[in-house]
Amino acid sequence: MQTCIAAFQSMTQALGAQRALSRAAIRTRVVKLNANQTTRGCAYGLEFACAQQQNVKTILAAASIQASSYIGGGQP
Amino acid sequence: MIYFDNAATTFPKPPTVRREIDRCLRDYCGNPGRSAHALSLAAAEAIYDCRAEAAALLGVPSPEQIIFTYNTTHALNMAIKGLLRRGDHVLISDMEHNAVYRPIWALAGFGEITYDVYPTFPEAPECDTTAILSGIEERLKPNTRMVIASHISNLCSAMLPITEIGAFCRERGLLFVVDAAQSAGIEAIDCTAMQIDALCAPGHKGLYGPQGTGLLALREGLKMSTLLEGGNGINSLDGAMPDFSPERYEAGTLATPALAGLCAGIRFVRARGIDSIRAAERRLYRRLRDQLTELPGVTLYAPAREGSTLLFNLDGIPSAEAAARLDEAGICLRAGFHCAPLGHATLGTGEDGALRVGFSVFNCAEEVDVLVRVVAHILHKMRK
Repeated sequence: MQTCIAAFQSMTQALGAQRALSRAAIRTRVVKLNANQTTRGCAYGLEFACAQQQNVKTILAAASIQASSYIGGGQP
Repeated sequence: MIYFDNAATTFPKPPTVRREIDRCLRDYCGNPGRSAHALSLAAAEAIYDCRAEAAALLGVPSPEQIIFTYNTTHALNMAIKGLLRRGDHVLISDMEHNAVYRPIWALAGFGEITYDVYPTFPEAPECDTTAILSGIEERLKPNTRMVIASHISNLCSAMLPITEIGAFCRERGLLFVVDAAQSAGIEAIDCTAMQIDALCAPGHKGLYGPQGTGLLALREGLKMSTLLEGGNGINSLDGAMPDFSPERYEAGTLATPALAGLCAGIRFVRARGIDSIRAAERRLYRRLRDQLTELPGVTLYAPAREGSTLLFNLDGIPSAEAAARLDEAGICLRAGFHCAPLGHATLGTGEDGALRVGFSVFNCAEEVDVLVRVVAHILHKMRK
């Protein structure tokens, strides 16, 4: 399974996003981003199946949660 | 032992609070927000749970707007010093605790701000909203930027009309800061509906968490300057603190076991229901007030305002001495000035302060009756 990452500014935002996605039955895992995935040092993201990327974006937008970027899945 | 010092800190705590603190220390007390390993994540999730519970209880739209502090004083200092700018004018009520008065007094002493005090008429039988709003309006200046209100006094049960003051402030573009030290968990609070910009609350009083916990609920979109700077596990290569809540305001490791306990405390409050808690404590208040009113030699302050806190004096006995005699009888309550010189002056308690009874959900009618009997005995012995 190919995995993508939604990057967030903080652990709090990542956990808020994880709760919103969990309510929609989308499984995610909190990961600490690699240094080359951030510009300012420590940051967190949610790893999920790339097949769910559009659903993830839609659900987070509906919950007014904004990922700082999406990593993987062939999209910027 | 009978504990009536719940306005200072509630005791005992619900068993669920004690159990969760213990469970945290045994099972998941990693450093929250610092890593993605299992123990750090478990701690971060516990803290997020606490934010979510607090946000739901206080009518805050997003858990991210709940900032954890050590206590209400810490939260008030953050709001006051983080939102005010040099040259601002502030209005505070005549019932404010030193948690408000001292930071304001210090800023004024440094020449940073000016302030005035508006009257709230706590001795009136009912809250006079019109008079309070008029008092605020009369003291407005072109540079007035903030109004601070103690939701419920820490001395008596006088409550300010928060909803109306919030609307008044929003209409005039003023910041509205609320000290909810005595109301969080006891009165319904909806920060959004009440148009509160910054609500400061303790975790260890009406929310039944442990000491060392408090919170600041900051309106979304409002940005404060920081009181503390330091590490928080994100943007570690930046010299500047992040510009988003709550991480902007939470430097250093949070008190995970205490916040896990606070989460259990808030869940306890939500399960019992604010209405039920308030009703139970008011029943005790009426029972005590009505019996003390019948005793000659007892002076009550603002007795018509029913709530969770009753202030009184025994004629001819300094409050500290009366409290010591009550302590000998196994009754814990607080004497003196309760860190609220403005309020004591407003109520006219005099040079010795007064005795304060504060109820929690764990008090009962029998305890009130014991207190009344001991008070009657003390007065009787004094007259001999």
